[in-house]
Amino acid sequence: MDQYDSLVERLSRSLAKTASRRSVLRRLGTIFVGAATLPLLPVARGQAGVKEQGDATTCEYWRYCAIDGFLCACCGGSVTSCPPGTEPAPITWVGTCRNATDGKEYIISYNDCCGKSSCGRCLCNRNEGDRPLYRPNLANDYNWCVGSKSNIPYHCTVSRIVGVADKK
Amino acid sequence: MRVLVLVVVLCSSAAAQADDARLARQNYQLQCMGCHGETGAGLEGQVPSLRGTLARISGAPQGRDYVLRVPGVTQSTLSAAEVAAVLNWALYEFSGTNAAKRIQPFTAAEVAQSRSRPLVEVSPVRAQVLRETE
Repeated sequence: MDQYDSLVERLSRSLAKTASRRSVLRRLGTIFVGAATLPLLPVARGQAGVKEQGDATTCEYWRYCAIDGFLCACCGGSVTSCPPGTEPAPITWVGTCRNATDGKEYIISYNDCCGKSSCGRCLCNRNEGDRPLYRPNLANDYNWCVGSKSNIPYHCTVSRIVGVADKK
Repeated sequence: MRVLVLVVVLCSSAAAQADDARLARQNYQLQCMGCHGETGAGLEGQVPSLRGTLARISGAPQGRDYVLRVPGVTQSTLSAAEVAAVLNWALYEFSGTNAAKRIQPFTAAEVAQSRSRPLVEVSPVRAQVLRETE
């Protein structure tokens, strides 16, 4: 304990010689507040920073693990954006897919794009995690365009990453 | 030494709270976000907004009873404790810290009890609660 005390004393004296009290308080404050708030920062919002592989115009692409519909990436849009002339349905269904590149489970929002008749290209129906219609938030057989302004006409589906499912 | 112990305890507590918040957010994203949306804004005329209104409603006894009996709560596949955690997280996320602080946190016991009393007619009850909490 004596050694510990003398070590702390030496460090304190050395710190007192080189830094003002306010400076120390400021730095300590930054460290503690930073350490406490870092885990609260949003995780993997959107697509930024996600390492991935695969062709987004094929059903095997990892984000499509629970999809049931036409891929917007084959219909003039992309994996995350609706084709011109359509709009994303505000009501979606949400599932998780494993990204083999980084081994993480991601939360995927499947947004139907609405306003034009069915695209007809790249129909995928993988259904992993799909549940019966009486579990609507986990069922992919619904036409979610019923919630959009342009209503029923379903065109295709996009797959947006909205988070990481790393908590059990 | 006591200060060091206090700092370690505070940091551990903050990390545990952050973990709980992340789990609640994840459960919201997986179970609620499809309809209520990422921002809790809902869909006008079809899905109720949680923004601002959740704390306002939860502050009144009849509003708190309503929140605990909506379909998303009574029919959830999450445990009662997980539902309570999502509600408490949503209070802060969608109503702000000042409003959320004034609300008694939801408990697992309340959620478990409400599951035997689901609302049949949701919209009229919501409209009435909103009028009464204006």
